This record gives sequence, C-alpha cells and structure tokens, in this order.
Amino acid sequence: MREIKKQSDGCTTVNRCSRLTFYVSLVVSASCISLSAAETNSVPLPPPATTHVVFDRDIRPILETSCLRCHGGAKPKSHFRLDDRAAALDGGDDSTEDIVSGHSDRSDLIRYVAGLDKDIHMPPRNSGPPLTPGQISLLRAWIDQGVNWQTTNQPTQLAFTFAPTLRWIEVQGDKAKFRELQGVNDGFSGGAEEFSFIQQTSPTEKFSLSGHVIAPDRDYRLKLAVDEADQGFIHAGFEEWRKYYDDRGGYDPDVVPPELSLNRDLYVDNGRVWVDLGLTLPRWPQIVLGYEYDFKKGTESMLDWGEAGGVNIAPSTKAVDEQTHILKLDITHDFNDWHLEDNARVEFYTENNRGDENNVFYQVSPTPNSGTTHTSDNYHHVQGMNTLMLEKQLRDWWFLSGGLYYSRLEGSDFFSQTNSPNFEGNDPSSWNSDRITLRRQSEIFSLASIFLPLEYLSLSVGTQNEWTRDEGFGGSIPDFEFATNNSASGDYDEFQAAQNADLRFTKIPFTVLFAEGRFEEQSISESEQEGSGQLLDKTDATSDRYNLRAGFNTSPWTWFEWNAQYQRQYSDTDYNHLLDVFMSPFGDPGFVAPSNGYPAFILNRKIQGDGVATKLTLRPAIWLSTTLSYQYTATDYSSKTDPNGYNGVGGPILDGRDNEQTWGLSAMLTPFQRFYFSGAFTYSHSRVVTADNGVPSVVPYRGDIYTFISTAAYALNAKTGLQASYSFSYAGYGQNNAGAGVPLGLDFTRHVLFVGLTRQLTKNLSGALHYEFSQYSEPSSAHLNDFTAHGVFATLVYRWP
Amino acid sequence: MFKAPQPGMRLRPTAIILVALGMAGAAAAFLVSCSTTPTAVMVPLEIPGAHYVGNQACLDCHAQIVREFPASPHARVHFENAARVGETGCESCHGPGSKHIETGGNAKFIINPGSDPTACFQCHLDVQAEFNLPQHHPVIEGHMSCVQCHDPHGGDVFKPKGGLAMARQNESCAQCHREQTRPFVFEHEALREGCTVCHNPHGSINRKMLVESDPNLCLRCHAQVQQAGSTEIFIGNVDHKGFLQMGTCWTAGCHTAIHGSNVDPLLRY
Repeated sequence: MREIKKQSDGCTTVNRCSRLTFYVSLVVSASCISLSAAETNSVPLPPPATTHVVFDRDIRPILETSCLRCHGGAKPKSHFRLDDRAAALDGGDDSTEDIVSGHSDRSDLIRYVAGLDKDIHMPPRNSGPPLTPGQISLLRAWIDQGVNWQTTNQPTQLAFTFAPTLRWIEVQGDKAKFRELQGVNDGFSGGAEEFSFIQQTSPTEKFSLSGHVIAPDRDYRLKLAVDEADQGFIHAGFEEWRKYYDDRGGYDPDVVPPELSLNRDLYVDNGRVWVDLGLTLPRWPQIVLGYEYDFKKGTESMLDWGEAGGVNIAPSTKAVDEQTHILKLDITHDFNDWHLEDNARVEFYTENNRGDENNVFYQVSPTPNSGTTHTSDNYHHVQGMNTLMLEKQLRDWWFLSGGLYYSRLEGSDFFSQTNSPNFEGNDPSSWNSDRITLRRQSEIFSLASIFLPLEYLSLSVGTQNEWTRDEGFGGSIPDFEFATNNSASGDYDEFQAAQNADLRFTKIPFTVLFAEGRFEEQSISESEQEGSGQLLDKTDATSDRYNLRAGFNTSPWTWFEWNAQYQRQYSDTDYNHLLDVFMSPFGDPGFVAPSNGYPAFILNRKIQGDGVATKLTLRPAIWLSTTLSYQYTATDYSSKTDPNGYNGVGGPILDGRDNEQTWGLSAMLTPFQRFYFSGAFTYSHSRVVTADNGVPSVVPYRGDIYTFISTAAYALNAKTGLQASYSFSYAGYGQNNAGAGVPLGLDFTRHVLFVGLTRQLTKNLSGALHYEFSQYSEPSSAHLNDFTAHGVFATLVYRWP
Repeated sequence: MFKAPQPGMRLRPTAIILVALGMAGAAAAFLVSCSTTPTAVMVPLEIPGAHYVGNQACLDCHAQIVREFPASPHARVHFENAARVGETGCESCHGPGSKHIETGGNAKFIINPGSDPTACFQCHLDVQAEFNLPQHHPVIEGHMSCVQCHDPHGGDVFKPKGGLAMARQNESCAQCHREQTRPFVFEHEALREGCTVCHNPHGSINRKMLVESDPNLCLRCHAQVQQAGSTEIFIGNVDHKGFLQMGTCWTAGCHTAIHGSNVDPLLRY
C-alpha cells in the first residue's frame, strides 16, 4: 500500500523498491508516458466491427479475461459491474455513460479501453495486456447493436451438500469427566455433519442456507444468507453448543468422597440467534440493522465450603440463566478517500443465576451437608454504546485514524440468600436486599497515524484517553458481619492516558527490524461505604505502566527464516489511603476500628516482567519443513505494605515470582508420493513461588506440560484415502501437601488416537468411516477420574454438482 | 480425486506434493469435524489450482485492511523482499489468491482464518498446544474463532476487529462474560488489570482456565504484612494460615464472589 500513484498516463503502480529501482522507474515511467502519448496520437479509435456480434462468442471472453476480475463479484471496483446488463448500463462512480447503448462513440468504456482518456486506462497497465484493436472493434459493434446480452437469463447455478452422520461412543470409567473433557456425550448420536444449499439466481443474486446439526448433544448451527449485490442482504443464523461439567466440581475425588458426588448430568447450553438486514446501495452508506439474542442456560458444578472428608470443601452447583437482547445499527461509508464507520448497540441483559451449596453453619453430626444455602442474583441492565471511527489516507505516506467511544450502563440487582435450616438448626433464614443500583459510564477518544516516510520505514503512533466511572449503591443490603441490613455504596473513577509507537525498518535485505512501546498513565479514585461507619474506605491510586518489545525477522534464503524478540513489561502503582475504617469480626483480636485493614494496607505495588521468544523455520527440501521455537518469561511481583493492627512490621516484600519456558518443535513432510505427515511437539515448564512464611499448605506451583499433536494421510488409490491422527498430553503439577492442607495440583496423561478411511463412492457421493480411541489417566486423584473411550463414526457426503 | 501412478510414470515433485497436501486438507477437515476430540492439525494453506499473486492484488478490493496493516504486529513478519516470495503478507495467512481474484472474490477460493484456526497455528505453536489442554475455549471445536477476540489486521491484536484503536480493558472477554465484567458495588481490583491476570483464555490444565490452581494465584498480588519471625500469613489484619489449609481462596468457600460482589466488601457472596 506504500505508494499508490495514479500516473498521468493512467498507470497505477505500487512501489516498495530500492532507491535505484525508483530512479529506474522514473526513467521507465517517462518512457511509458512518451509511448502512451505517441500511441494515443498515432493509433486511431478502431471502427466498429461490421459483423453481427454474438455475446457468448465475441464479448463474454473479452469481459472474462480483461474486465470481470475487478468489475464483477460482490464488490465491483467503482461500483461498475460487467457481469449484468442492467448494472453495466447503469454505469459506475466515475460516469453514468460508461456504456451508452447504440452509441459506442459516446461510451466511456470504449475511450478507456482504447487509451483515449488521459486519466483512466482499462485494463490498468499493470493488471493485464491492453485490448487489441480487433477486440475494441467488437466491443464497439456490441454497443452499437444494442448491448445484446444473451446470458442475462443464464440458468440458475445450484450447489447442494448433505452429509448425514452417525456415531457411537462407549466410555468406561468416569463418564462425567469424559463429557467435560471431550465435549460430547457417550452413546448414540447423529445428524448432519454438514448441509448447504446455495443458489446463484443471477450474477447479483445469491441465496444460501448451511448448517450443522448433531443431537442429542445440541450442537446446532444454521446460517441463512440472501444477498443482492448493490441492493442489500439478509443474514440470519442460529447456533447452540453444550458445555459439560463433571459432578465433583472439578475437585480431587480423593479428598471429596464419592458419596458427595452431585450425581447429575451437568451442562450449560450456550447459544445465539441473530438477524442482520443490510442496505448496500452504490454510492450510499452501507447500513446494517441487526438483532441478536444470546443465552446461557443450565447448571454447572462448583466448589464451596462444606464438610467433606475432614476438610471444609465440597461440590456445589450453580444454576445459570443469562439472556441478552442486542439491537445494533452499523453504518459504513467511504467518501472522498474518507472511511467512516459507526457502530451503535443497545444491550438488554438479564441474569438469574443461583448458587446451591451446603449450609456451612449447619454441619451437625451425624448428617453433615444436610443443610443447604441458596444464593441468588436477579440482575438486569440496559447498556447503550456507540463507536465512531473516521479514517483517511491524507498523503501517500500518512494514514490517519480517529475514534470516539461512549457507553452508559444502568443496572439493578436484587440479592437473596436462604439458609436452610438457619444458624441454630431451626427454620430457614433469609437475607434479602432491596434494589441495588449499578451504573457505569465510559468515554474514550483515540487518535492514531501510520507514517511511511521512507520506502523502508514505517512508523505507527497513537494515543488513547479513557475515562470510566462506576457507581453502585443500595439502601438495604445484607451485612453478614453484623447480621443486619445496611446501606452500602461503591464509587470508582478512572482516567487513563495511553500512547503507543511501533517502528518497522526493512532496509537490511531480507530482514525486518521492529520496535514498539506502549505507555499508560492511570489515575483512580475509589471509595466504599457500608453502614454507618462499619466500612469507610477512600483510596487514590496512580499507576505508570509500559510494555516494550523489539526484535527482528529475517529470511535470506527460501529455506530459512528466523525471528526473535525481547519484551519488557513494567507496572508501578502508588496507593494513597485517604480514609480507612473497616470493622470486621474476622480480625484478631475481634473488631478493629479504625484500622489499616483490608484492602487499605498496600502502599505500593510493582510488576516487572521480561521475556524472550525466538523461532527458526527450516525447509531443507521441498518435502520437509521444520520449526523450532522457544519462549521464556519471568515476572516479579512486589509490594510495600502498612504494618497490621497489632504485631506486623509492614514494609516491602517480594510477593511472588513466575517463570515459564516453552519449547516447540514442528515438522511437516511429504517423504514420498501420496503420503503426508505433520506433527507438533511442545514442552513447557512453569514455576510460581509466593512468599509463604514457611506455611506448609502453600507450596510452589510448578510442573511440566508435554503435548504432541500429529496427523498423517495416505492415498491408497484415486478413490480411497487413509487418515490418522494422534495427540498426547501430559501434565505434572501434583502437590504432595495433603498433610498440611488439600492437594491442589494435577497430574494427568491423555491419549487420543484417530484412524479413518474415506472413499469416493460415486462422482457425487463419498463416505468416511472413523474409529477413535481416547484415554485419560489422573494419578493425582487416585485414578478416580480416569476413563477410556472408543468411538465409531460413519459419514456420507453428497455434493452436487 | 487421486490418480494412481502408472508403471514407468514419474510424477513431478510439485504434483506429488499438491496431491499429498490436498489429501491432508481433506483429512484435517474430517478429523476436525467428525472427531469427539479437538485434533486440529497443521495443514499448509493450499488452495487447489491457485498460485501466489502478491499483496498488490489484494489492495484493489481490500484497501482499508491494507492501509491499516502496517500498524499490526503481524506486519513484523511481512516484507516484500523476503526470499520466500508469496509467503509473506496477506497470502501467508489467506493462502494463494489467484483463483479468489479470478472468480471476482469468491470466498470459496480463499482461506479465512476467521473460521478455521489452522492458519494461525502455523506460527502460534504454543497456542495450538494450549487449545489441546483439557480446559480451553472451544475454538478447535468450531464454536469460537480466533478473530472473535483478536484483530489480525489492526493496530492491537488484543481486541476484536476495528481500526487502530487500542483495546479497552477486558473488551474481548466482556462480549460473552457479562456476569463477570458487569459493575459491582464492591469490585475486585484485579479486573482492572485484565482477565488474563488470572485466566489463560486459550487453555489450561485447570478448571476455569486459571493459570494456577492453588493460593499462589492470589498471593502474587495480595501482599502479606511482614512480621518478624512469624510463620503466619497475615493479609491485612487477618491471619490466613488456617484458611489456606482448606483449599484455594475461592474454592474453600470464602471469596467465592471473586469477580465482584454487591453485598460484601470481602467478596464472599
């Protein structure tokens, strides 16, 4: 895109060449101009052919070879299309007299193809050879004879695909874990792996219906599209998929005994329905009016507090019911080299989620976990937002982009909790809030430019300022410490200024050098209040952050490519606690007021991370490509705190240190005819250590992950092919700390083998038969989550034509 | 589809490779669509019958994308004078474009990474491995796509598509996870630093795609108050040593409203 020059002779060229090439180009261009002028002056307009023109024989080949590449399809250049008679006679942006039926001498099309226009030459010189005098003569005769277009009523083009499928899966072991990890149910299922119906009723009209239906897993996808070029479109669709959850809340079954298993098939259905109505009239803004409905509904497993095998942690469930209605209006317009885009949204969101857990206050022997606690949020919000973006190519070397974003959210929530029985083991007790009001307002302004001052240099710079205000309050909200309802509020103001710069340098042969930086300055003012003095907190925070990255990418030979980069991230935040009163029975000793409690005790926080990444790609032979990659990151988290209320000294502390290394190796090879193989191996090691004061229940989180993913294909003959894939993953993050707490790490090994046969049965019909074996082993949970599965899949695919 | 070799017949290497690559593409399609398990594989970006045409040809119709592209991090691997001509720039992700252009922009003849992550996995090997871990967003199952969260052409890949603006905090996640990103009376400040402080959105071995499954996740930021000779973990005024023996800060039933609460400043409900 570097330079787009519409030259005086009508040539359009794009140059990213060297300076020498540039001067040579100047000479060539000058010659080109001279030649063009000479041609224009010396070659007269060819006369119309004297024969009767037959469109399919004489004209269509010319259009297909020289014109339709740009003046056909969904987005014809200059809105001038030559694949439809009516549209061709309408003309394009530059002229409504591109084709004047009966008058080739007045038709701009003829002037362009004959090189008689000093600004426009068709086809452009770098897009194909010019038309011959004979072809121009035929075009003139065609126009003079009335622009005959026999193929206007060409037969409808139709394409049809239907792929019914059946599958059967047998699972031994933990079926709930199988469903969670594999995303499908065991037993029989089937439907249509793929179906589509596409009808091109004319060069400008298209109808398509496509989708995918698998039951009973509720894996559905349906898309409908009706497109009329230069008029508008209707796009609609529906999709739904199911996410499964195990029945132990994902926790270690060795700790949570089997009798506490939820023993339910748990899943959440996720889906959306949408319809977009678009208006795409030439030279008008494109307008899209849409509606979308998103939903999540089902039950997922969680973990919560409850007596389980001597520890206070037990499986629980969360009923999910979220619905969102979205109205949207998108306007896009290109005018005078400006590009304008406006996206408006109004979102109506409703959430009726409910947590169901054991009543932690009623753990009476001999029937622990017999009490229940239900916690509900009935939340609703309306959010309106608008994004406006304006862009322009101001100069060949300067692209400018600006944007505005505004959003406002108004929401309300009703919280309730029921403990059955109550604390004393008697009738249920309920905690209910009155209306809780929640608001959020955001304004963002951004401005960015791309500069291309030299052919080997690009610079992208931008700035973005954001302001956000959140507020939430309610007059009667449960206060669990003081067993009463209180007023509560939280306010939060944030201003952030960000700047970025990205430099790319390509003067070194076959090499890109790059450097980029992003800087942020953030100012936050926050206050929280609960009751008449139980919580009074006011904190101002200021942050400085940056993210720097530099590196290179080089490919001096076709068989070699190497890139590497270094990255540093840094964040430094100072907290000024203007007000800090928190009365809580959880402090020791007892109530502390006023206090340097929580969270107002951190005075400063720093995060500093460094990372390197490199990748080497080698292609020593045409049949072999290999890639070796390596990444290393290390991050330090440190803080400075106030002393605590009675025996702490406070001060600086290194809270934690992360480091992670990842190695990758991949290969793609075709060592002999009909055979293909690709494989990717990745190994990562990570370690997180936090300050633990020697507490044995907090141990470093560290371990290794290995993954290997491969596939191979072999063609037995012209009709039959074999495919196989194998994937392996291993994680070793086990923690031997059961004596001091609960083991929170995870060890597992997972194998998946897939073999298949495909065969072309007839010209239009093919079939596929596949077998899959999967095995999951989790030693860290005494193998109680293990499973082994076998699956058989049969699919027929009918494609027409 | 495949022609069996005749005795004495020698196929050219190019033809052999095209046959094998086409076969691999068909295999990959079946592997992804029929398998119970996400097994996206590395398949080269081949379009039968098409050849590389260079970025100039793309400019004719996709001017807006080409104008913004120099600001994209993907432009780092894009340079016109690379030895591997035709494999840098637009076609390195979208495949050879000649047939797409010849047919007036027919989408059937161009690779769309927006609907298939294979093109992205060519370079992002580590991300491909993460998507094969037990807990992951359903990208390789086809229920989500890379471009729902990432803009491959604009100035910031950490947001959905839309020009040169920088990403708003949690912008990609909030599209679907409204429950977690909505306002609360009592907020968890970690959300201001981004969802990825705690979650790996591509995939993890841990439930909820957490980057860690134990209290280290929280202790990285929730500083202890230093005490001489202490074997306790004081966070603010509260000794958490006993609580940490019960599990993680959130699964032990304490700070379960981890994304924010409307009733409890300690995020317990």
